[in-house]
Amino acid sequence: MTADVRKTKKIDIKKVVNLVPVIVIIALMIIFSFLSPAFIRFRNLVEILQLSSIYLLIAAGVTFPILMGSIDLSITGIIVGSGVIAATIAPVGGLFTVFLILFIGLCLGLFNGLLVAKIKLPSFIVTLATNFIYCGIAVALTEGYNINIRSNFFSNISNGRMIPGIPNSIILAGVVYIVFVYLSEKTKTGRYIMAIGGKEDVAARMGINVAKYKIIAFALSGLLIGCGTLFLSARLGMASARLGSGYLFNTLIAVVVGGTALSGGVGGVRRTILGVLIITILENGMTLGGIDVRIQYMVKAVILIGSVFLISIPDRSRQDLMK
Amino acid sequence: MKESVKRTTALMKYLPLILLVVVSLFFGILYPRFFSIKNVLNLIRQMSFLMIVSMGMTFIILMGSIDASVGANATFCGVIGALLAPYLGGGAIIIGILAGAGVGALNGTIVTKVKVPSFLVTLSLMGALDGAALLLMHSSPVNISNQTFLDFSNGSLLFSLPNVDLIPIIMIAVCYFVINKTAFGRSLYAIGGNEQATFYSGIRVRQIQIIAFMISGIMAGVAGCLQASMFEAACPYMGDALMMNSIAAVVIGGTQLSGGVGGPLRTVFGVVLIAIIGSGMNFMGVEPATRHIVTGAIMILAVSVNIDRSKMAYVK
Repeated sequence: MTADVRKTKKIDIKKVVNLVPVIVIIALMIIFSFLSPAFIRFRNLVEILQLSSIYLLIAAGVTFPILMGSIDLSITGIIVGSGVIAATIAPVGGLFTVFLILFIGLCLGLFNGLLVAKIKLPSFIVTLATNFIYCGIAVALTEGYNINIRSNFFSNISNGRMIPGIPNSIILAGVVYIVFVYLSEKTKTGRYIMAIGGKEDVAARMGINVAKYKIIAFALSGLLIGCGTLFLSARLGMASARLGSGYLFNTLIAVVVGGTALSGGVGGVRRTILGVLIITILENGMTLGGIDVRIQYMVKAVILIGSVFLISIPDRSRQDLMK
Repeated sequence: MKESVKRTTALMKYLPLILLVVVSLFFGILYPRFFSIKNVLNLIRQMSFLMIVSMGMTFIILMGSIDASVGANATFCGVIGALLAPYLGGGAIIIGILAGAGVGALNGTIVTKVKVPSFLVTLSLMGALDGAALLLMHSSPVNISNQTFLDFSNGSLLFSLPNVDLIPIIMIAVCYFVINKTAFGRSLYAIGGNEQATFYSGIRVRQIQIIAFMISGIMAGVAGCLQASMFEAACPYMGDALMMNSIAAVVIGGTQLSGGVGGPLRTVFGVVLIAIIGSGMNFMGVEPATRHIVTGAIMILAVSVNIDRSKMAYVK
């Protein structure tokens, strides 16, 4: 009897937590359109979506390691690393540059994955260190300058408009995102990654090659961060060692706010889009409202910690004591 | 099997020392001026901030947690000290250190009460503190002209030893005593060894975790004020390098990230090793960007050598 009561109560909390992101998005839209009339204009909404498209790809990528209960803190490093290395090798901006950005992103993610799965190091320390390494490589290659990539083809990836009024990056990012949502939900790879996050030893006993799928998750993260870098570099027409600052916080917040628990096994790539919309609307609204960037940092820190707390409410039992 | 485990443990125990000798010999032979009195004094001065912060970090890593906010916290405390120096003089240092303790308490409280993993809490606070520090100093250095504040690093309390060399030595002694000779120190090892068992044996795990984070915050505060006093100004991002380097120093010294193994004296070796490598790279004319790469690589190597894989059922 009591067990039944507890069960229904638990489901209720879960449903509420799941609905929170949607409610927050609507509330933020209403608040910001009252605060500044510029917010609701079509141009600004397109701007929000274009910014979201870059965040969306990066955040979707990072969702894979987080679903496993790991984490990828080398977001900034992979953004600047893949952009700068590719631009150094092929600054022309042709198809080869595009391929190279994606490939180097994949390789950098793969390196993280190998260190985590093969040498068995905790992911947070590996990615903290590789972030340093990748940023160092990027700064050493550029010596602080920007590398311009000037070609119409490259610029059109982000700024062109196949459909009048809507930049390509929104459409392309949407397509890539849908592919990876499919991959995470309907394929073996996605389900195995989810299983590893749920309970790793059980997954291993089931015969899942845990190390292999860990490496795949980090490689996917690298690939999608590379993809985000592609749209970012295409939009700005350059690669720089300073482009990546700020992305770490925003994407982690987006993933967690969307409803993916850091303990792993809960949430999904599908939910990340809600978090991305929240964080970009919030950033855009705060900037239009004239709030200092440095105060925005603090607001974000509070949101990050608060949302980690909120998301973990339904399965509190899994984490009795915290390290 | 047991034999080999024993051998690796012995190797791990002496690895920092062996590395220290090898690295010193390498730079000593390559550059005869490396061990001149002037450079050695310089070396000691350079490592003093890192030594203090790493001592605090040892408390945290012994428990198996991590504190990524130390660098930003040092900057934050340095700014508070610098801003208050004209009004309070030496009191500004105390307020700066107290601010560090407050940040540490906040870290500890969020980790234990709200139950968010420590790396995430401290990483978020790092962002917030960097923002707060920039806001306080209006994004440009705050100059300090108060003599009492400047004496914090340049004066000498004991013989003619400058305070900037004396304070780290005092901190090492205090940390050695607290970690090795008190019940608090022993419970740090217990928490790092097995948190659940420690909790059920009646030790107040959460309280000890909060205190440990406060100690780390205090150390960051001392380092920040000392840095501000040494530079005669609090600068944006001045403490940032301390975060990576202190984690690297603690780990390379032989304190395991998984917790429960290691100690403050090992950290001393780690700090000296990091400082010698840093100074050696200076001699070689290595660019700052390349240093980042080297620091990252050292960190991965150090963790991969000394992490205790048997203790982790699986690696996240």
